[in-house]
Amino acid sequence: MRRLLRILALRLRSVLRRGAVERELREELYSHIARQTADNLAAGMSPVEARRAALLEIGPLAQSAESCRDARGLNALESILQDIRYGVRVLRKSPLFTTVAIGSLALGIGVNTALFSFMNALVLRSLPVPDAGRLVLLRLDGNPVFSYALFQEIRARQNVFTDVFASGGEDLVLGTPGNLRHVPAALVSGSYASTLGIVPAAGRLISASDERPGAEPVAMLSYRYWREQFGGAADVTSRRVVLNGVSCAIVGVLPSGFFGTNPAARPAIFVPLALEPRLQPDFRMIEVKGAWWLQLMGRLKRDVSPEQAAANLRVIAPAVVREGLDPDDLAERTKGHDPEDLSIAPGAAGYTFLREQYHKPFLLLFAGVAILLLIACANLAAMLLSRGAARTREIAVRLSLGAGRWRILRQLLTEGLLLAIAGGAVGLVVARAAATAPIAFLGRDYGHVDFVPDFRVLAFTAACALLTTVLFAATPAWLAIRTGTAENIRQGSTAVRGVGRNLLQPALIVGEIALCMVLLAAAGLFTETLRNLYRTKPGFSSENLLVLPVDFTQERQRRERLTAIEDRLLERVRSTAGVEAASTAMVAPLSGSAWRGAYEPVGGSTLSHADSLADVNAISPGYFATLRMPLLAGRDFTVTDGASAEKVAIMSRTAAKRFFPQGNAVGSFIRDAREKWRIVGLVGDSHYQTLRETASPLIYFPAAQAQVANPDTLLLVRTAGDPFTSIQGIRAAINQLAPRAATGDPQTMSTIIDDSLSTERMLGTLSLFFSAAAVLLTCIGLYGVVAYSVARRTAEIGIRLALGASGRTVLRMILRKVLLVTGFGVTLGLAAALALSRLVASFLYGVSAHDPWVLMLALGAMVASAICAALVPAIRAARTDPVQALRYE
Amino acid sequence: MSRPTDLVQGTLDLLILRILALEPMHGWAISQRLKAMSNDVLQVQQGSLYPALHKLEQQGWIAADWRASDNNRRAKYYCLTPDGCSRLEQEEANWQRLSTAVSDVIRAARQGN
Repeated sequence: MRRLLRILALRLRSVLRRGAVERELREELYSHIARQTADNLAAGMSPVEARRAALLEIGPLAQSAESCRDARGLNALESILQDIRYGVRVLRKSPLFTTVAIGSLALGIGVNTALFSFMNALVLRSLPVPDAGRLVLLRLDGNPVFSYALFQEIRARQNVFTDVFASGGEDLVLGTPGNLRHVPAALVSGSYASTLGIVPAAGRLISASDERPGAEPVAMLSYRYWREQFGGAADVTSRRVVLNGVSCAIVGVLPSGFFGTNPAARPAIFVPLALEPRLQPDFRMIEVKGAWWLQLMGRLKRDVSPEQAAANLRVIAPAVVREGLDPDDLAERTKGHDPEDLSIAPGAAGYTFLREQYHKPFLLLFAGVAILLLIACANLAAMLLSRGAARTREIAVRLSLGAGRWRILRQLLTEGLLLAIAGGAVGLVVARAAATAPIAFLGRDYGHVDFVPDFRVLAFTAACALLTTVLFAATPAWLAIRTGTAENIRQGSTAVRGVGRNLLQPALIVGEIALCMVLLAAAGLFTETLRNLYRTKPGFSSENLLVLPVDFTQERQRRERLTAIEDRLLERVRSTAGVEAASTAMVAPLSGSAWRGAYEPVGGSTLSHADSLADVNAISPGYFATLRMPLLAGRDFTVTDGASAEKVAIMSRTAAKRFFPQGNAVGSFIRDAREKWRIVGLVGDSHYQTLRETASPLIYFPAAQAQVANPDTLLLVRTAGDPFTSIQGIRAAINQLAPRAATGDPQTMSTIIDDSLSTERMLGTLSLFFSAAAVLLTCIGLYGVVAYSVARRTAEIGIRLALGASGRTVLRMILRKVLLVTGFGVTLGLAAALALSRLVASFLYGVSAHDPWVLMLALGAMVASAICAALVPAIRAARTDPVQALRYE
Repeated sequence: MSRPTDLVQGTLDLLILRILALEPMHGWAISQRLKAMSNDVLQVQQGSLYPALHKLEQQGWIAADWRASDNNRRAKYYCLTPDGCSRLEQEEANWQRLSTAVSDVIRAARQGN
C-alpha cells in the first residue's frame, strides 16, 4: 500500500513538476561525469583525457537521459502531450474543416445526448430515496393502475415486501373563496414515506396514524412549494391549508429534491389517501371498486429476490382479484385477459405513463438520431480521407525520417479524438437546448421533467465521442500510413492513390446518401400523416373555440341548484362581448378524456357486449350550436330537460345506425341496467377521442339529468375573434355568479387538437429537422469530396480544356460521376426505406408506408440537393484556365 | 529501453538492491562498489545503470533524496525502501534457485559426457 502511494506520488511529480524532474536528471548525470573525471584525474590522466574517458564510459549523454525518461514513464506522457499540441496546431491551420467537423459532430452527438437525457430523466434516473434499487412497481394485467380495494388486498396478503404503498395524482382546489386555484397534489397511503425511506426536511411525514378513522386532516408540502409559497418558514407546521374546502394541518415538509414517484409530475401538496372521500365527496374513489387510479409500489425485503416476489404475487393474485374486483368487472376482464396476472417491474426510477405512451416513438427518434450521427461520422471520414491524401507527402516524409507507424497512427487518431471531444463538448450545449424539444410537443403538463445532465448523460456523450472517433478517424488514419513512403515523396501530391481510398470515399458518400434517403422517406411519411390528420374534419368547428375548466365542487350545491347556476352562468357568458355561443360539457372532444357506457335499444335486437359500448358525453343545451355540429333530426336539449323531466338522449349518426338499423332512432328508447332514455335528436358524427379513429357511436345526455352529479365541468365558448380576448369577461361572470367556483387554465380547441396529435407532431417535426440536418451534412461532404477531386485533377482538366474540350464537357464529366454516386445511394436508400417501412406503419395515417409520391419526393429532394452541392466545384472546374492549370504543380 | 547485455536479465536490479542494502549511496558510488565487489569482473554500462535506478525508484523498491556528499557536492542518494527489502529477499532467492539450477545442469551434463 505504501509502495503504491509512493509510486503514485512519483508519477504525479513526473507529470506536474516536469521541469524539476528534468533538472535533477541532468544534474545526476553530470555529477556522475564529474566524479568519474575526478577519479580518472586521480588515476593520472590529463584533465581533457579524464573528461573524455568519463564521457565515453557513460555513453551518449542524450541517449542515457532518454532511457532514464523512459524508465520514469516521462516519454509516453510527453509524446501524448506533443501529439495533442501538434493536433491542435494542425486543426487550427484549417479552420474551415475544423469548424465543419466540430459543428457536424456537435449536431450528431448533441441530438443523441438530448434524446438520451430525456430517456434518462424518465426511465433511468433513480428516485432520490435510499436504496431505490429495492423498489418495484406493481402491475395487474400489465397495467400499473389499481383500485384502492386491490391495494388493500395486496398489502394484506403479500409477505415479500417490507411494505406496499399507493399514490394517485389529483388536482386539488387550494384556498378560500375569492382566492381559489388548482394545485397539483398527490394522495398517498400511510405507508408512503416509510416505504420510500424518506426523512422530512421539517416536521413529520404522513404515516399510518393519519389513516385512522376520525384522524385530523393533514397535508405535507413538497420542499420546493414550501420554499416558494411559505418562504421556507420554520413555523410552517403550525399552519393550515384549505384543500377542496377541507382545512388540513401542515405536518411536515418532504426532503429537498424529492418530487414523488412520477418523474414527469411535481405535486406541491401530499395528503393521505384516507382523506379522499372528504376532499371529493362526489367521487369517493377509494370506496369504488371500479375506480382505477392508484400506482402501487413495494420495497423488497432484504432477503427477497425480485423472482421470489413475483412468485409470491402469482400465489396471492387469485384471492386479491376475487376480493378486490367488482364481480361484473371480473367477468369482463376475464374476456381475453388474464385478470390474475399480478406482476412486478423495476421501480427504482418511479413511474410515468409517458414511458409506455412514447416508448415506440422514442425508439424511432433514437434510430433517427443514430442515423444522423452515422452520417456525421461518414462525412468526417470522407473529409479526413481527402485530407489524408493531401497529407500523404507529409506523412511519407515523417515515415522516412524514422517516425514509427504506430506513432503516426496515434498522431492521426489524436487529431480525431480532439475533434470528437470538441464536438462532444459543444454537443452537450446543443443537447441542453434540444432536450426540451420533445417536451414542447407533449404539452404543458410535462414541463417538469428534469434534464440536468448527470454522470450517465456525460458518460453517454463521452461514449458517443469515442465511438465517433473510431468510426471516422481510424480508417483514414490507417490508410494514410499504409500507403508507401518513398514512392509518395517522389511522385508528389498527384501520386496515384491506393485503390482502397479511391473506392472508400465514394462508398462513404453512397452510404450517407442512402441513410439520408431513409430519413427523408420517414420525414415525408410522418409529414403526410400529420397533414392528413389536420385535414381530417373532426365533425365540429375548432375555430375560435375556448375550453375553460370550471370546478363547482366548493359551491357544495345540490344538483338542481348547480344546474340553475350553470344555466344562469351560460346566459351571462352568452351575452359577454365577443361571445357567439356557449355551453358546458363533461368531456371536451379530442382532449384525451373519455367516458364510455354500455346501452341497449329497447325493443330492438340484443347487441353483443362490444357493440353495446358507446362513447358518452353530458352536455348543456346549445352544445351543438356552440360546436357547429349539424342537427340531423329531432331537437336539441332544452332547459326543460331537467332532473325531474323525462330522461332524454341525443345520438350521433353512427350510434343511431348501430342501435336502430331501421332508421327509427328518434322517438325510440335506449336503456342500461338501471334507466332508460328517449332519443329526441340525431346529430352528425364527430371525433371523440382521437382524429385517427373512424367515427364511433356517441350518445349525449343532458348534464342536468346525469346519473352522477358532476360539479367539475368544462365551459365551451365560441367567440367571434381571438378567444382569449373574451376570457376576462367570462371569468368576471363566473366570479359573480359562483364565487366558490375554481377555474382552470383556458385552452383553445386548436391547442387541444395539437395536444392530441403530440406524437405525430413530434415525429413529423423532428424527422423533418433530422432529415434536413442529414441532407445538409451530406451536401457538405459531397461538396468537399468533389472539390477535392477537382483540385486533384486540375492538371488533367487543364489538358482536356487545352485540347479543345468545352467547359460544358468538363461539367458533364464531373456531374456524371456525382450522379452515379447519388444514383447508387438513392437506390440503396430506397431499398432500405422499403425494408424498414414496417417499423413506421403503425404511426401513419392516410398514407401507405410505400407511398410512391412520398418516396419520389424524397428521391427528388436528395438528387437535387446532391447536384446543388456538386455544382459549385464542378462549375469552378469548368472555368479552369488551361494555362494556369498546366502551370499548377 | 536498453538492457545490460553482459548481465543476465534482471540481475542488475538484484545487484543494485543488494548493494543499496549495505547503505544509501549515489549512482557513481554504486557503479564503483559493483566493480570493486566483483573484483572488476562485473562492469555495468553506465548508460544502463541510471535507467535501472530510475525504474527501481518508479516501482517503489528504492527511494531517492538529494544530500550533500563527501566533497560537499549535492548528489542523489538512493536507499532501499521496506518494500525493496522484501523484494531483495525474493530476488535473491530467485537468483539462488536459478544459479543452482544452472550449476546442476552444467555438472550433470559434464558427468553425462
